[in-house]
Order: sequence, then C-alpha cells, then structure tokens
Amino acid sequence: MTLRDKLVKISAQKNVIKSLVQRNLSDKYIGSTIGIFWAVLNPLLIMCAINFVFTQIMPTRISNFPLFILSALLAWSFFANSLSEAAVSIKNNSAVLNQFVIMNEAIPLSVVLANFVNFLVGFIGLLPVFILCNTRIINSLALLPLVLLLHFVFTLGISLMVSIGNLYYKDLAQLLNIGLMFLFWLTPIFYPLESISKGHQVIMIANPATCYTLLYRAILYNGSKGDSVMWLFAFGFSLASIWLGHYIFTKKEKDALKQI
Amino acid sequence: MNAVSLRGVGLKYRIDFKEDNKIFPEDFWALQGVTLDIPRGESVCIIGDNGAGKTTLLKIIAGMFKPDTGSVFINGTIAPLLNIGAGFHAELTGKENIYLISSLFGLAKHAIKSRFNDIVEFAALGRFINAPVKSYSQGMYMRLAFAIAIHIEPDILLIDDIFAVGDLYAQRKCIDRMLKLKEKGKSIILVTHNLEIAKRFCSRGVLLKDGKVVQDGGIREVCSYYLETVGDKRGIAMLQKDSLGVIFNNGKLSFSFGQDTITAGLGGYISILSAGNQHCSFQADWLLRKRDDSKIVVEGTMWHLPLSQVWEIYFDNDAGVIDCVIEMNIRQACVIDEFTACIMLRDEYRQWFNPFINGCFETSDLREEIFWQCADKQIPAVNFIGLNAPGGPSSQLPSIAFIDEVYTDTKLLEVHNTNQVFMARALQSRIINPDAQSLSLESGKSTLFHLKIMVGNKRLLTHRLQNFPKLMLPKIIQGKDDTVLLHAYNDKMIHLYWRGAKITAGKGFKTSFYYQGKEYQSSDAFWMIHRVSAARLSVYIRWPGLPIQQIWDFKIAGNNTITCQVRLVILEDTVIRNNEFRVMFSADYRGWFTSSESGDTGEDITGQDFKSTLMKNDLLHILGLTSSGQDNAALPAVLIHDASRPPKFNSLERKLDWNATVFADASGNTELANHLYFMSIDSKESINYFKGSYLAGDFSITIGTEPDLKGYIIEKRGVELSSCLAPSVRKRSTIENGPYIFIFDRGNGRIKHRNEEITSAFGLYTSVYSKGHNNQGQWYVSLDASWEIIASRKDSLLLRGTWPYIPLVQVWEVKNKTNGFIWDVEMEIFESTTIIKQQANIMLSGIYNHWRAADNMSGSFPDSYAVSRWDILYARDEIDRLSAGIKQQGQGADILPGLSFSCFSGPGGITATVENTNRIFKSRKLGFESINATDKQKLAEGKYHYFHGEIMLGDCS
Repeated sequence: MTLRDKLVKISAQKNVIKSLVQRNLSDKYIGSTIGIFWAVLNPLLIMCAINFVFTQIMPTRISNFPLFILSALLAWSFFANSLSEAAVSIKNNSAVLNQFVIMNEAIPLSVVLANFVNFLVGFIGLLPVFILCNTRIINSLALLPLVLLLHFVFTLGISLMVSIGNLYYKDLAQLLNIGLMFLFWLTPIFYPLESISKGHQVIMIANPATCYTLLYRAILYNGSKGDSVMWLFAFGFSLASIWLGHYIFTKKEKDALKQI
Repeated sequence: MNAVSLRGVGLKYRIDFKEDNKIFPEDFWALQGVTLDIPRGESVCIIGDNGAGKTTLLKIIAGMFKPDTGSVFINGTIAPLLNIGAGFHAELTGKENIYLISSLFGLAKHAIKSRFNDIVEFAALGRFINAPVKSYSQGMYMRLAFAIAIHIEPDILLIDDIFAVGDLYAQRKCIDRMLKLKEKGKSIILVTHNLEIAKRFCSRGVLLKDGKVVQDGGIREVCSYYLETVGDKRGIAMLQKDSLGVIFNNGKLSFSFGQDTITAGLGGYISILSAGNQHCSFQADWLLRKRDDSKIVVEGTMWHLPLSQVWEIYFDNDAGVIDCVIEMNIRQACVIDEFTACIMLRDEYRQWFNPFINGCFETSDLREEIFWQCADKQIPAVNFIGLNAPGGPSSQLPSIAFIDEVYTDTKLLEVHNTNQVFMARALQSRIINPDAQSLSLESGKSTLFHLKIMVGNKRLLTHRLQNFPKLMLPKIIQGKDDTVLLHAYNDKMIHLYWRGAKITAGKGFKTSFYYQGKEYQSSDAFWMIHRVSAARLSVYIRWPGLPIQQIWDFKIAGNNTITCQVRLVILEDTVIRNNEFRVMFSADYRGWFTSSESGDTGEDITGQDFKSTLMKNDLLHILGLTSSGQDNAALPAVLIHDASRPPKFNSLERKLDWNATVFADASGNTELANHLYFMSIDSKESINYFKGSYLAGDFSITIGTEPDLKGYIIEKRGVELSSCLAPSVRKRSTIENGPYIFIFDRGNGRIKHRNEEITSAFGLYTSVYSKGHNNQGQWYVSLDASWEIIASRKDSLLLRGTWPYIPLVQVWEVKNKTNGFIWDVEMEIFESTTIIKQQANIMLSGIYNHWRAADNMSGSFPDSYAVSRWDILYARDEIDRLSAGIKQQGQGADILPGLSFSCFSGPGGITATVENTNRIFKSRKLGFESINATDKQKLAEGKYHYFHGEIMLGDCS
C-alpha cells in the first residue's frame, strides 16, 4: 500500500480518529476542574518557575530567558510525550483493535494528534506573551504553521516506528525514555547553539530535533526567518521520517498484530 | 452477491518454543487453504473444537489479521462482536460512551443520534445513563456494551460465542435482536459451542478442524457429523439401540428417537447448588472410563467442587428404557444445598402426567420469562412423571417418562417450563437440602440418582407405568418429645401435633390478604415444597396471576418449639391490605395469658361472627393458651411468640407491630368448628410493597405445661422491655404537665393521665393522602415515617419525621399549656408532589362515650365496634373544636378527664370528623382534615403550614 492509498483510507476513518483523539484527551483531563486549560496554565507556570530560577537564583546573560526556553521547550514536550505514549499505544489498545474495524495506524496517529491539540492550545495561550515581549516576531509568525506541520509529520513518523517496534522489542519503551532524556540535553533547549564548540555543533545539528528547535526559536524569540540550512534539514527529516514510519509499519503490522 | 468471500486463506503464527534456555521459533498454521463464500443474507455457524481456528477466521474476516496466503473480499460494513466491552472510557458517562463507542464502530454523529433512544431503552439503565461508567455494576456495563453493539446494523455481523458471557437478560435480548437483523437480510457469522443455538439461527454450518474446512453444508448435517466424528475424543460417547440413541457430550446427554432429537436446550445434566452457586455437570472435566455397545461409564471431575460424578448409562432389558445411574464421589467434605438431575425436552411436548393427574403447559408458546415456570405446583410427591407430545403434522414424537429408583424423603420430581433461551420443557428430580441447614457431605461415595428414562408409544408406556406403585408421601418433620409438623400436600395444610394430639385445627397455619379488593388465602394457592429435611419444612406458595408469593419456613428448634418465618416475595410494586397470618387452634383452647394478665375466651359463640379479645399490652408479642379439656385428654399449653422486632423504616424489611389478638370463631354451618385463632394483623389498612422480599412474620410456638410457660413469659418480659426502650430501637420522648404526660413514640403521640392512657391505638398522628408514589392515591401516616427528636425540653418537644416514598418532612412541636398541650405541625415538601388531603387526628380510648362539636352538635359513641369498617359519626366544615367526654355511668367514669381538640389553622377548607373505629383498634377518633387541591395540581417544593391546634384536658363540658 502506498502512502497515498493510506492517506485516503485514513481520511475515510476521520470520525473514528476524532473519537480516539477525544478519548485520549479525556484521559488526560477528565475529572480535573479546569480541564484543557491546564494546557495553557502548565507552560505559564513553568515560565514563572524558570523566571524565578534564572533571574533570582542563577541569573543568565540571555535576555528574556523564560521565553528563550519556552520557545523550544513546548515543542520538545509535544515530541517527547507523543513518542513515549505512542510506544505503548498499540499494546494498550489491543482490545479496541480487536473489537472495532479500525486501521492500525489510527492508534498512534490519534495519540500524536491528541498531543498536538494539547500543544497547540498551550501555544496559542502563550502567543500573546511572546508577542508582547518582542513585537518584532509578528513579521516572522507567518512561517510558524509551516514549522508546526513539519514537526508534526516528523513526530508522527517516529511514533509509527516506535509503536510497532515496541511489539517486537518489549524493552523499547524503557530505552526510549532514556534516549529521550539524552536527546533532550543534546538539543539546544536550555542553551544557545553558539555557546558550544564548533566541533560539537556538528553532532548537535545531526540530531534531528535540533533543526525544529532552532526554527521555533528563530520565529518566536529572535523574530527572524531562520537559517535556510535548518529549513532544509527540517524538510528532509520530516519526509524521511514519515516515509520510513509508513514503510516499517506497513511491513511489520501483519506479524506484529499476531503478537497481541 | 457474496458478502464475504475467502480464497485459499491461510494464516500462521510464530511460536517461540523455549527449551534449555534456547529459543526455537516455529511456524504454526492456524488456518490453511480456507475457501468460503457467504452470500448476502445468509447466516453461517462456524463449529469446531477449541483451537480449530474459529476465532482467527473471524478476525481475518473482520480485517484485524491480514492473511499470509490467499485473499479476502468483503462486501459491506462489518460489526465484529469479538471483544465486547472494549473501548469504554470509565470516567465518561454512559451517554458519552454511547457516542464514543458508536463512532468507533464508524457511525456518524447523526446516525448515533437517531438510534440513541433505542440504545438507552435497550440497556435499561435508568438514571445511570448519566453516571460515569466506572460506577456501573458488571451487569449494567455488559448491557450497555451489548446495547450499543447490536444497534450498529452492519451488513455483516460477526459474533464470537457471546452466549458464554453476559446474563440471561442480555442473552435473550441479544437473541431477539439477532433474529431481527436476520429478518432484515443481514449476514450473521456465528462462532459458538452451543449447537442448539447454532441450529436456531443458522441454516448453514462450517466445520473447522485444525485450521481446515472439514465440512460445509446444512447445519443439522454438520452438527451431527461433528458429534459423530469427534467421538474418539475424550468426553464424548454415543449409544444406539433400535431407534433410541443417546449422545454423551462432556456432562450433557442428548436423546434421539428415530430421526428426531427429543432433548432441547442443555439436554440431560446434573446441577449442584452449593453456597448459592449453581455448578452444572458440563462444568467438569470428563473422561471415558468404559465404553461398549450397550454401556458407557464416564467420570467427571467438577471444576469448582471437590467431587466427581460417575455416570453409568446403559439400555435396560426392556426395550425403550435407558438407565442412568449417577454416583457422587466426594473427595473432601463440602457443603451442598441441592442436587438436581434435569432433562430438557423439546417444546413440542405440551402435556405432562404423573400417576395421579395430568395437564397441559399453560401456553403453547413459551413465556417470555427469564425464570423457569413450574408447570403446576400441585404435583404431589410421586415416583414418576412424563411428557406427551400431541401428534403434530410433521413428526410424531414419542412419549417420555422419568422415574427415579433412588427414592428418599427429600427428593421431588417436578415438571418445569423453561425460558426463551432454552425453549424447552424440563423434567427434574431434585434432592433438596438433605439436612436442616446445608448438608455438609463427608467424603465417600453415594448413589444419588438412578433415573430410568422410558421412551416410546404412549399406550405402551402407560401400560408399563401402571406396574409401578403409586407413591405419595406427605412431608413430616418431627422433633424430640414427639412434636410433629405434618404437611399434607394435596389438602394444602400444615398441622401441629403433640404426642398424637392435634393442637391445630381447621386449616392449621394459614395466611390471607386483600389484593385489588379481593381476598386471597393460602388455601387457594399453588403449593410447592421449597426445602424439606428432618427438622425443617419450607413451603413455597404462589397465587396464579398475582405478583405475590410467600415462603413459609418451619423449623423444629428443640425444646418443643417450632419456629415459623413467613416471607413475602413481591414480584412487582403492589399494595396489599390486611395481610394476616393465622394459626387455627383446637377449640379446646379457651384460656389465654400474657405476662401481665390472663383471661378466658368464653364459651362457644353462636349467632355472632366472632368474638375478639384485645390484650391490654400489645407490645409484648407473647401470648399463651391453655386448654380446658379433661386432665387426661388435655392438650398442652402453648406459647406463641412473635419475634418480629419493631419496624425499620429505612430498610426494605418492612413490618409493623402485630397486635396479638385471640379470636374465637364459629364458622357457621360447618360442624362445630369453634377454632381459636392466633392472628397477627397488619394494623395498617394497606401497605405499599416494592418489588423484593420481606419478612412478614417471625413466630415461634412452644408447647409445655402452663406453669412452665408462664414462668418463661415472665422471664422473657424483662428482656423485652429493655429492648423496647433501647433508644436505637424506639425513638421516644416524654414531657410532663401536671398530672398529664405526653409521650412521643415513633410517629404517634400518646397522652396519659396519671397512669391511665387517654389515647389509644395510633394516638396523635397525622396522615396525608398523596399520589406522590406510583401515581396511586394512598394514605401515608406519620407512623410510616422515620423520626428524630430534634429537641427535648422539660416542657416542649421538637420532632422531625421524614416520610418514605413521598418527598415529605414534618416538624411537630408539642408544648405544655395550662391543662393541655399545643400541637403545631409544619410540613416541608422537597420535591414537587401531589398532596390531596391532610389530616391531624387523635385516637382516644374506648372509655370515652360522648362527643361534642363547636356547633353544639353532640352524640354518643356506640358501645360496639364494626368488624372492619370505621363509622363516621359526624363530619362538618368550618368547625374548629371537637371534644370528647365520659357521661356518668356508674363507677370508673372519672378515671379519665374530658378532652377537647381544637384546630386554629382555619379559616376555611377544614372538616372536623368524629369516627368510631373498628374492632381491632377499639378507639374513638377525632380529626381535622383539609383538602388541598384537585389531584392534578402539584404542590411546589417549600414549607407549608400543616396544622396548628391544641388539646385541652379536664372538664370540657
């Protein structure tokens, strides 16, 4: 099945996917008093905490340090949460797959979508803060949807891989968490890329998460259009990730599903 | 056009074998070369052993598995019911989950909306539809899951043995719904182990074995081929002689005669009731011990009980007779309540017979009941029962008779009509409760049943059965010292004997009640023995067409005591009036005694219906009777003890104080049947019962000598008084006002002057007529409510009562006043309801013989009381004051002061009434009633003024 066929089939099941996303979101927020507003409140509280630590306790030279971090951190948590949830998603939803005629991809897709919705809500909530602190960024905001799209596609591709991989290698979910932690510090989230020696910068740039982080930061913090090399990387990683994810998933799902 | 088309489908699993820490992966083919075409609208059953690949095949059709070889073509939408209940979100409400699950099935929002009401109705969850699913019981959860799944209306429905899970309710509804889908031309692909259900739904069967299609054809051929070919397997065996055939299949027997299978449903099986759980013989591992042409011996080890069964099945020397000898082999001691051997037969059997009577099943088609209906409770204890099938046009089914050669006192043979799921008639041999309580069985072997099943021509069978002795055993239980309780089955009587003398007379123990204006008595009912053993006799009593049943449970409790509990089983909400339990004693009993008084019922009465004696103290519940016979023929004294505790209004166990009354009765034209009744009467006119089970009476009867029993009563009295006064049992509080005392006692007020009580029966009470519950107008009395004492001061009481069934709270304030009491009542309605009439009443001692109203009308109370009617002596609007007094009439007239009862609530709409009550209460009643509204209007929630009045005592002329 080609990627195009699959997209057609998935769009035919959009109602089902919508329900799965709703189910995922209710998992997160049901019973809480303010519900989805946590998605906005959470980054705001983080911002306050960072502000306190890095202006009072350990001042840095970087101006607007909370915004510097948040511009990258939100996107990172979307990426990391999606992956760790997607890894166990098929296993946890085996009963659902057994009962309903649902495409197997719909399960990791709904996980990523739910996290994306969550991310977007928080993001939109914080956008006024970004703009107020740095009005220059208005000019570059037009590029934001494109980064979001590329980042989403990239995350989805990786999620497809880990969701199916975890059925074969039960250790994957554990390893993934450690890997994500390592990757977190390899990504210039808490520090600017320039603060690192040239030799190490190569490693950083080879890390696929770096290009998205730098693009988010360029648009939201610097108000620039971002490095064109980074854009190239971002396109490249997205396409590679979604194609590879689709390829592995299609190839392995038949056998993998017999495992559950 | 094919809905499903499979071409050479194969599917393999990779299985990792671990040996010596090395892994040897091997391919295992769950399905191989399956080619199958299912046209649209056809119902197909896939049959096969466990592991034959049935579920895998369904999963391939559902699209969950992609085949490793071959191809699958599906035409239409599919709803797989393979893992029903999956996908629910526990935190969401039932309603939200309906939307969630339906959309997972692929339904669009408007489609869900259009069937939402059907789903809710089907699931029958009531208010719970708006509660989170996590608060559901397992049954509710499954019902909702079923309801959603079967409303999807797919083109192809895949079902994986859902009859194994879910309760009978869900099964039946599911079956109905599946039949409907079938009518609509949908395809159903069913996997089940229940061949009977398969035969009902499907016209075509596909037999799978080791992943390959072995046979594909008509369902009947495939089923019988399956049964025959798997014969070499453990747990399945066949016997055939002439036209009679038996198939044993893992704890179930099916019989066939010629071409016809005569069994239906589960066929023949044994069920064992232990600790409330039913264990059936097919819930066991079966092994073939011995098998030849004429005999099978099989042994089954029960899964959940420490016992095994050995069945020996063989053909008798007589033609057409199959013997089944069933032996229990108990490995370790265990507790068993009941053993039943049951054979389910086809519903073409419409007539039953036993040595004495025969009859037809109530309706030719089976009732839509979930519970099994007993064909006729009147069948006496007999040694054989049988069924006939009146000749149908298509086939002539043979008659069948069922004989149990192992006959014990506690065994019963019965005919039942089963439910819609089984669609069968059942012949049963039950061993009920072989000891007083549950039987604790020691380890060892015992033969419990030896069933002879005779099949053949009706005339031949009847002829042969005539050689069997007719047996009918009355059930007797006997205690030490020759106390005997005898139950005569056909006459529907239970009598008590002591050393050969009959203590009870007439109908013995008897109940009666009024339902929808008609009186019903236990002697009109159908009786069935519920439990019987050496020291226990329990009878189950049913009135045809009534939602009311009773269970009487007699036990011999040693020391010449028999206990009796009467339990009411209400099948739907209902109103019962004058619920009575009576014991009719021999006319020789004339004297009576309680702890504080004694008396005589007098000579036999003639020309009068009956004479009643009311004990002064009706709280003690203990009454003794002595006989007046000659010394040598004298009946022993008996003591009747009503062990009912005071009512608990907040629970379902609803009882009222039973007045101990002695009635002597001359029942007119029949002989000199001058019986003495011990009778307990619900002091209420009518009682509203919800569906459920209620303990309506709890008695014991002790036999002994008079001095012994009197001693016992006095000893008991102390115990009883203290329990009466325990605050948790009785909410009671008192205020004193000079010589007058006001006592509040759980919903009624009593007034005493020195030690004499002015009030009687209910005393001061309120009563409202409401349509609040069930939309049937009914009186709700303050005695029904649950009361709490809010404040208890020296000169005032503040009380609050919450009514059951209707959303009503009343607050009473009773205050001292010079020579009297002020009585204020406020009511609060916390949910809009209809209150049509409201009353404030006072019931006075029968000593009062004169009344007067504010308009100077006056009159006397009659000396006698009507049997059950209350006489209205006076009723007039706009009167605010009533009084009662005692006209000088010799001595004792000044014991009680005059009383006046005033109502300040006015000005309009209030009616004052003076009434004379009936013989049970023997009281005078003064009351004020106001009518609120026509019955269509509802009172809004809020506080209302109810009654404001005073009771003045002293000289009221």
